[in-house]
Amino acid sequence: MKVLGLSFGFHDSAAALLIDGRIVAAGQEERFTRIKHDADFPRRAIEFCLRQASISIADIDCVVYYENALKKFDRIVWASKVREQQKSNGGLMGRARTLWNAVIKANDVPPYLKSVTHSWFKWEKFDVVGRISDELVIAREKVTYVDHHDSHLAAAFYTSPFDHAAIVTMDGVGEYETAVIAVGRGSEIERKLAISLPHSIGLFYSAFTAFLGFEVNEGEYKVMGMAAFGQPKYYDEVRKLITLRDDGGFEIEQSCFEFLTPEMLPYTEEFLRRFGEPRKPEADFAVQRSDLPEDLTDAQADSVLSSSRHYADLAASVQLCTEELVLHLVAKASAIARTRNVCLAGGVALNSLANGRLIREGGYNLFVHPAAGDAGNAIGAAASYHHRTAKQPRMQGFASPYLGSPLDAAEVDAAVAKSGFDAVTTCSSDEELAEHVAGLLAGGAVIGWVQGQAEWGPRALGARSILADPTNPAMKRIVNERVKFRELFRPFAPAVTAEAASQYFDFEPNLTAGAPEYYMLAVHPVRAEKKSVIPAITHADGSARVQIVTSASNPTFHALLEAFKRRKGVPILMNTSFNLRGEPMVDSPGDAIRTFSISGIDYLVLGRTVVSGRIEL
Amino acid sequence: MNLSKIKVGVVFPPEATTPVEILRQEIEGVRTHFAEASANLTFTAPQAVLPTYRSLFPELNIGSAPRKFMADEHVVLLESYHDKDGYSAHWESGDRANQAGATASSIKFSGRIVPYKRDWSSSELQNMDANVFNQLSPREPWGFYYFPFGYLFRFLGMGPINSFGCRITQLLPGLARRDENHKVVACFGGSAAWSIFCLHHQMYTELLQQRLNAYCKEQNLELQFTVLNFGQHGHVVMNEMLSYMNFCWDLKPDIVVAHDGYNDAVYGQLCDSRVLDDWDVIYQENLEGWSQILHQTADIPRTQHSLPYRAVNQPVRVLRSYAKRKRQFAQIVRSNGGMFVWGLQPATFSHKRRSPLEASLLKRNRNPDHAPVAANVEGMFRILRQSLKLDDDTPFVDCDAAMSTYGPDHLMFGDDVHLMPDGDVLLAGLYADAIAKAYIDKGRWR
Amino acid sequence: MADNADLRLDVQREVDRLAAECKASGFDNAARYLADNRTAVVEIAIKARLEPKKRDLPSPFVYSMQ
Repeated sequence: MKVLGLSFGFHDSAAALLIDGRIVAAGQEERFTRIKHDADFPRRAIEFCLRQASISIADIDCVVYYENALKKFDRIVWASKVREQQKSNGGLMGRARTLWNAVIKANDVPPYLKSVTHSWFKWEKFDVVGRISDELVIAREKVTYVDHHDSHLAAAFYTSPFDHAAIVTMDGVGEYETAVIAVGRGSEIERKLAISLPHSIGLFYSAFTAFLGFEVNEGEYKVMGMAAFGQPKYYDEVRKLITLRDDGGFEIEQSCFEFLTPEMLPYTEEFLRRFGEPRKPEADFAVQRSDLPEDLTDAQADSVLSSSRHYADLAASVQLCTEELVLHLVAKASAIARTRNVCLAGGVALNSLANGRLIREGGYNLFVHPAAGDAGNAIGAAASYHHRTAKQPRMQGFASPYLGSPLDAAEVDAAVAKSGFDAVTTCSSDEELAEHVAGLLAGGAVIGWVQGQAEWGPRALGARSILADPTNPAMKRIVNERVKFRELFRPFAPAVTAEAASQYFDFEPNLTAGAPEYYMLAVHPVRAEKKSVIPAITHADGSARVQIVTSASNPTFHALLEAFKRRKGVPILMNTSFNLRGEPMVDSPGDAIRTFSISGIDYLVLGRTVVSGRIEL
Repeated sequence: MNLSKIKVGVVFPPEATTPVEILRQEIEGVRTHFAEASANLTFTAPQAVLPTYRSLFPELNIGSAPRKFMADEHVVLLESYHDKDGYSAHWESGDRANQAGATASSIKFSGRIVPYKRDWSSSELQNMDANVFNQLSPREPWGFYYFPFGYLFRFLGMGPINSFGCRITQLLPGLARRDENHKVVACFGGSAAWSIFCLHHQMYTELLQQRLNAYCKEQNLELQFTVLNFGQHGHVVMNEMLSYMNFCWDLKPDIVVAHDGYNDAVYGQLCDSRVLDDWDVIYQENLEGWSQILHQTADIPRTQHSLPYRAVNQPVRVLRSYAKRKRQFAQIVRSNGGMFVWGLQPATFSHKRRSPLEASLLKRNRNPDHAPVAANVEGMFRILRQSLKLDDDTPFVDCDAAMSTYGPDHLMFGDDVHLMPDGDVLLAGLYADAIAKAYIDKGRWR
Repeated sequence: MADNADLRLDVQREVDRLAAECKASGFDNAARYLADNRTAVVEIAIKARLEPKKRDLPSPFVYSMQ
């Protein structure tokens, strides 16, 4: 049975192909179109999936979309109704209903609803089945859809290594739901609890993301990065906004938020009254004088330091509260399911600080779908259909996160020939490659590393990575200034051999396939005595978002880590995604060459080909 | 038109939201275009905004905008600009002026003068009959048109242009017969070199001429410099070479400044790989459209067959071609007795500390279709400056790097690559310094 | 595309179909909204359909090799 799962329309379009329960290919549209967070119909991702499987669209048995469009629209109308009632002080339902009816009769659609209706008609969001049918030229009967959180649940559980697990999905909002607790057993998923709008962890975190000057659905992990520089001084203030329920659910106090009909910002005047002025996007951030430009006066510097500490403290407070919320949900889910196996999906599952605590403090056997956000729902939708509609046997879990575009040797050669670079070395074996590149890294070079199939999910895991020496304290600044141009508070993450992980980081690696550390989805403390050894990847709070690598999970990368260890004594590399700021990760050799060209990366490695960035014009 | 006899009534915008820097440039435009009528210039403003403008420009003696205009007047409307809505010319005064039979024009933020709701007059359409290719071209004040060697570009309203669209008022044959102590600097480049947002006297070439002559006077040197602007919109280095060979061979400029980089970087990414890879030829991609029109082959897709543009050639490959062609140009210049100055034009990415007005202009004037390839240019310029190896005889003037030292108090860019007058002042200074060091001080003029 | 009788008819049918589908599926909020605001919704839909679908490119880095 060949099932094609799709997500598109709102965030992160993607396509995934399941053939007889095996994930054959999965790709995020942004990697092909080079438009970050591309939400348009995933034409190229679909073409990629079909190409990988050497099939055509006519061979597909079913195409499954990741959410219920009309249910979603129903929620939008409901939310608008509630907001209008609140605006008109509709304390009495009767008065509100009269007012609503009067509004309707006057054909005066509220502005938010008008705007959404306009957008939905313009972008044909109502009839998703029809849209897919038209785009792919397939019969409508071959197209169906799955509820949003059902997609997340399927993405979380069916790709996990567990036969029995608690499942928790948490995001901004799907149709109505924002979080679901379920139990997975074999091929079945049984829902136990659902939380609906306006109570949403995802939107709660996003509101603070926006307040801290970052882009929503893009900057949430920057909040995590900033949190390490602060103390949770505002914990009480933030915590007051959350009520944890005994049944595992939660409520968010709504006076500070605009989650129902957000037109501009997701927070209200009340929020500003409690938490002060929002941080200006791209505002200077520094917690010590030496991080600031020298030409600032003392008064200016003090102002920046003071405001930076304030916002970092707020970030730390929000992060702590969110972690508590996640731990609460997971604890309940685990209790209901009577197992320590826990599967997570939904955008909030990318909160790797929370994941680290679940592992270390909660002792859970955690699986987090690597593309936990909406892109992952392409797999989830297909998986949900495979099990629940088609009643097929339990699918295989993730064998590896490398599901994307393969690296073709002929394509590499052609791309290098057209690149304009002429200092090219080809290694004759993987061993020679590892030794050669390790030597370059040990010499201080920043390397663009492209191997095999691209990663599925937002983390670079040694297939489309930028690598550098983590023992060099200046390397963080070097990579930032030459390549990434990121904010100073953003940490760089390490890749480490699984064998050595616990020597450097304070956790016991769970070598079960699918542990979050394989996908760089959990943050753990760096061991105190090792912080000075690997300063470039040790964050301000002494933590790191660790990727563990085994010779089975990624042999080439593992060999490189070992070769680096022979030179520098540590089997760890700084591993950040191969892209410039604001761009998706590179995918093809051509993308890699272009990004390499205009960045400060010293060498580009494409398979066994090593390109030096040194040229003379 | 005898400007000295014309009454010129200038009308300020009806809303007081236009930034003062823009108004100043527009007033400068009025003064420039109506220099001969300076005695007859009156400044007026609608009543509601009169106090605001009077306080901003007390020296102009601004009166209240008349309700009636006379047929012998030339009414000039200063265009407004606001962040949200962009540019507009207020219609009321202009329409009343037209109704009264007066001549109405408006002045744009760059100081450019254009007709207001009337056709361009024959005197305003400069050089339309100067040669057959001008005659065969559309009689439009703006546009590219056919010429056997490259193409030509006409841009009216910014001041005098010669018969080939260059901002040159001198007669070149006369200059070719100049004295030994009279030195000619010929500047080449694209629209940024043409200085599209600067009035004639604000162009970097005019300022460069002044600086060089002032320097020579300071040094008590009996040298005189004339600087000529051969910039043309869209030019890549290949076009510059063709212009040099067509117009400068007999002129034998003593110094040639090639102020370029952006067009080659952008167009190089867009053009057919086979032409670039095999022949190091970079061309303007819109010329593929000319081919389609000429040969009726619109059914055959161009290299860029959809928007936004896609880079089909790698940055370093493009740079190699660009550098090769520029070295070729340098060789040609030297073989004709000139010194070659390698200029790297600035782009907005190097002026990151910009004022809100500049940020607003950028946002408004940016071409979104170019964005994907324009995004690579910053990195390409960085590679160029790190990797370019020139001999000591070839000064390298990195106008782009110099831009980063300036903050928001200078309004440098009107869009991604075209400079406002402040920017041309910078260019003039940089080229003057380079020429002073490499040519004057070293006695290469002897 | 121009605002004409055919477009108007198509849109009206689409709105009616949507309202019916929402009602059949139990999505009463949407069903009532589409039915009770039919005139306004049809106008909104026509205006939307007539707008050119220019893609918003927040981070337009489009690259591919020929």
